[in-house]
Amino acid sequence: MALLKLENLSKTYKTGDKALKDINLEVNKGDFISVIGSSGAGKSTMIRCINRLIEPNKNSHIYLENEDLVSLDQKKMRKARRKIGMIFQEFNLVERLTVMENLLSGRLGYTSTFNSIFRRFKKDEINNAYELLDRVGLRDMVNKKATELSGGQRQRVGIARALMQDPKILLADEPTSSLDPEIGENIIKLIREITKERNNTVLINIHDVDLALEYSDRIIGLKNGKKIFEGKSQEVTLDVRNMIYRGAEDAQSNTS
Amino acid sequence: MHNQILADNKNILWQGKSFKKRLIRISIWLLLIMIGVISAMTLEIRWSRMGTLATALDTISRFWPPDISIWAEMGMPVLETIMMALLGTVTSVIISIPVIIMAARNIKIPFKTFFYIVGRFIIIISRSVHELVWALIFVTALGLGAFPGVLALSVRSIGFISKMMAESIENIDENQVEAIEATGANPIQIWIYAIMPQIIPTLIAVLIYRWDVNFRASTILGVVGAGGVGYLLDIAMKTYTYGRATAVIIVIIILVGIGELSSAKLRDKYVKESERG
Repeated sequence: MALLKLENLSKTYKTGDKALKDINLEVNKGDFISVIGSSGAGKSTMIRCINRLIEPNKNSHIYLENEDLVSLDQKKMRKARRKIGMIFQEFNLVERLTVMENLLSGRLGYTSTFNSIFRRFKKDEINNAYELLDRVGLRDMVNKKATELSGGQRQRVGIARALMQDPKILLADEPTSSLDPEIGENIIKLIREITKERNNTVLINIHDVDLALEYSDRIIGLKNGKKIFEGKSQEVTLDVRNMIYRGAEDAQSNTS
Repeated sequence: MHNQILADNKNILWQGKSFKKRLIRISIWLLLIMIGVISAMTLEIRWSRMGTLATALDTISRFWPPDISIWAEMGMPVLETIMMALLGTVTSVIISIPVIIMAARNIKIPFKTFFYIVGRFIIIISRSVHELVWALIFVTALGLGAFPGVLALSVRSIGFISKMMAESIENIDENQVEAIEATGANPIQIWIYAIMPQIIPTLIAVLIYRWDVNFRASTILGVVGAGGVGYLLDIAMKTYTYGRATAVIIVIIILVGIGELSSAKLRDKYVKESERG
């Protein structure tokens, strides 16, 4: 049974722009899947539809542990979001909060409104935050504000925050694109290792094909909102690359 | 023709003001002078009634020496002035909350367009009427005392506070909101963890600034009967006890000076701190 199953996932923006067209995908527990494609292919839209930061078309289905997320009301959707961790391109830390506060904000879905107003979190949540900070190498930064961190450090906090949710699946939207190549690779490596340790499932958007091939179990190729490739890293030949990244005409001649 | 200077062989052409631009410039100056003359004429300043230099000096001399015996009665009015400024500022923040919600474009509420216009309208009204006029209105409606003064200050402050805060909310970084939303946080938690941290530095700066303004305003509100040290000044002037008036003015200057200094200190401490992050 698939952990996450996308059925006919489509998204048409109000502008009439069809960003996603009938995406079907199955993600199994423990998978590390990279979504590649040129900018505008629909990678970010796809990731954001899964936790409904972007509302997918009504006829789409997103099954997470057999629950169709598209059908949920807001309250149930919030509950479901707790199971989905997310890492962002621009890190999206709350700049004026400390590292610890940023990590604990990953627990908001599990915290009552009253307790969150007074910043009251459970002891094991705080312990877990310290452990994660140790793991990502930022223990010393615990009381620093996010603004005091470098890009790579911020993304480490972003990873730790997402893992604080104890998620069933981790979504990552271009987690390396705002970083230097070397630091970007360290971040991918960290995501790969830390999620393998925890037997986590990862769906990651990535611009850099070489990084994707090196660290992923499976590759999805998106183009113009359609899934045009799915396979193992070894199966991404030069032809496949060309098909994903070249213009529409090329793609047609390649696939025909 | 235009002034053209060819900078030595570098082919950089420098053009001075063209004749047309000079003409426009001179016309604007002439226009301003004319407006000045016309306004002076319409005001009908009657030089004959102004008295001579001697009478002016005589009047001014009556303000000296200050009659500092009045200082003994000033404890309460000074306290009242300080409290008016504080209460007026705090009250106006509370009244501003609904106005901010109406006036910030990115806060979604039902009938947004209607409420947006209402919010902006309140802001304009509040800002365009002077606090002395507000004080007059409230003194007429509610009688003498500090309470109408507090109301005047807060009503006057709503516009500025709401405008600044609404703009601050419109300019927040949505990425931070998105991240907190993705954790499964509810709208209240999103407010506390993603939006408040972004707008609190502005709130602190606005509060300190407005308190500073209100503090200065509160010293004079008494002139229209709204309590505080201004009321003593008004009485002293009306009873021609100019020495007492001078003593009150000295206290006002000291108070404003203290207000200025402490708001600068507060700003240094909190605003700069939060700007550092």
